[in-house]
Amino acid sequence: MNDQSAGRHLRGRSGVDEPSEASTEARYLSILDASPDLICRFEPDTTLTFVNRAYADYFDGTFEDLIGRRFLEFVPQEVHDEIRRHLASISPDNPSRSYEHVVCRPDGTQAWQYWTDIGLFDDAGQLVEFQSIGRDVTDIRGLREELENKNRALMARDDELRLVLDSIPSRVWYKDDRNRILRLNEAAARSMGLPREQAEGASTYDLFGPMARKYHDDDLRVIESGKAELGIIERYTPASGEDGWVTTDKIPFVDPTSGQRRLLVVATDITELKKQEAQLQLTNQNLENFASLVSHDLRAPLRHIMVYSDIIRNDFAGGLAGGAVELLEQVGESAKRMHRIIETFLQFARSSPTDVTLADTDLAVAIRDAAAALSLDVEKAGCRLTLPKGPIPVRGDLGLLTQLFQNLFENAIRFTRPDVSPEITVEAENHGGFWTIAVQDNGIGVEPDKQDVIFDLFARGKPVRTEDDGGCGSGMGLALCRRIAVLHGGSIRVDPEPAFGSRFLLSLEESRDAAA
Amino acid sequence: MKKLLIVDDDELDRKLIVSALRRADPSIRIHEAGSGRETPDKLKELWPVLTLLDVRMPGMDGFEVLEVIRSDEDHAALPVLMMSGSDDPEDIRRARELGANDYCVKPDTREGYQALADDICARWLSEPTTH
Repeated sequence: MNDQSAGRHLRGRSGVDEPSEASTEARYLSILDASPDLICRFEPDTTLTFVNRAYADYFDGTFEDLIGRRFLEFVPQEVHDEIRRHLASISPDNPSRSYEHVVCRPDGTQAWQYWTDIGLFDDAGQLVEFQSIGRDVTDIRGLREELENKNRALMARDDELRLVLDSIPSRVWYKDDRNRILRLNEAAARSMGLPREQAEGASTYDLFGPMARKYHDDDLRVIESGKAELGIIERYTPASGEDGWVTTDKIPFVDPTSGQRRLLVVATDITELKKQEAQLQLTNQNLENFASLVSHDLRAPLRHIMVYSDIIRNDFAGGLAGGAVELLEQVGESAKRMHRIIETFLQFARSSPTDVTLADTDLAVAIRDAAAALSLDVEKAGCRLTLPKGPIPVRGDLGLLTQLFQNLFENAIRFTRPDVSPEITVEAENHGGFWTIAVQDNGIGVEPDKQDVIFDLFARGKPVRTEDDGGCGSGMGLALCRRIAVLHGGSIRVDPEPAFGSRFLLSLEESRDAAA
Repeated sequence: MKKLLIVDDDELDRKLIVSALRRADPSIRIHEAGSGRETPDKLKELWPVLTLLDVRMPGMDGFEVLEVIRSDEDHAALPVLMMSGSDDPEDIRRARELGANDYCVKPDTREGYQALADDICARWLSEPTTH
């Protein structure tokens, strides 16, 4: 027994009886003193009967200072009851218990210790003493608290992310390249007909029914390319729940933690939209059929009026009273006018996006064709036409573009000033990949407050010429021009300040091939 | 004797083309059918050398009649000239697809009808046919 162990006995304050035991005890004491853990024995009232060196060092005291003192002295008052309850819970049936409590260090600071107390009982089962082993866990507790705080913050972020995901009405999920859904929002889980907990971690083969293979192949392609694919419109067939249509964005990314490839999928249900689209197509088709039927049914009797009045006028003129021939001519002209209105109406009804075939087209050809189609009217009106040579390369439908210029030319011939022969000049300029075609006439012009409305359906100009059709048009010619321009991704407007007459400005994008 | 069948539900249209054809060639025997449905029987009865077929007809329209003609081995090679009040490009495409020999828009003048009748006689009825 060395000096430092003087007065300490493994058996407590009762000491040792035999010299051989003293020698053994000394060896044990040296082992206990070498331990970095705090080791002590104390009586049921917490009076210390033994402390090791680590314990003594911890409380900055000598063995003599500490042995005989109650360790509760080193513990804040408010914790005493808790410690007493803990010690009282130790029994022969439950002789060993661990706990943590706070202590006061000699420097006045508080620290945390973790103790395992073992009760020592006599043969009658009476508690004699405790022996304990403990350690300072202040740093560990600090780390643990820090970890818990971080964990709480992470969970809060996770909750926030989930809240954000769940507030998105689209179906959102991301998956790994083995086709497992890692996370999904409420809308996605609902669409799959499963609770979220079941869907997360599941293979899409279990969730997407017969289309799963196609979806997987598509997803792998996107993951491997590393390029997002947006706005994919496809049928959606979950294993349970209703089929529908979705527009899907697939965005590949790499998990920054694991470095593994992931795919974010955002799918928006467009089933209703598709239904409405189908309904609209049906309505359009019905309208087109209706227009076609009506115009056919109107055209037949109209044609009869034209032909039969022509026959009477030519073959039976001799038998007609004076003035009858002129009246029949009026009948024929009125019928022709109505015929033209029906023709324009039909063209308007047929000019839908699905009927447009865009191809590399020379607009100069459309302009020349339009002039050729009106050659009789041009000649009759004494009209002078100046056309651009071209080429004017655009992407367009030659037939529709010809119709557009034909309508503009007809307008120019129709709305002339009294006693002035019509003149039409067409010029083309290219600015930054867009062609602007100006159709200038020397007619009565367009009043400033009519410059927008003349492109509306059934807007009509003032009657000027009366020779052929009562002077005003069908009210559809310019509306058709605008529709054709818009179908080509272009626009048409009236120059608000022409030098004279009226000046229509058509803007169309240059053909990409020509631009290249 | 060259026999020609005109199929059109519109009696006035039939009259116009019939009178123009008679002026063009008085020797032609012209027969009329007022509906698509009676056409197959008329063909078997008359064996015409040319059929003028209206497109829009109630019941069985001109396209359906044309399909029947082209699938009937007795008359599959019969020249069929489709006539319509409409120049709808879709109708023209469909007529060609189904095997019409020509497609013409019904004229709106007396001269127009006469020119059409003259053209039909010159192109389809001037040479002896083996049909």
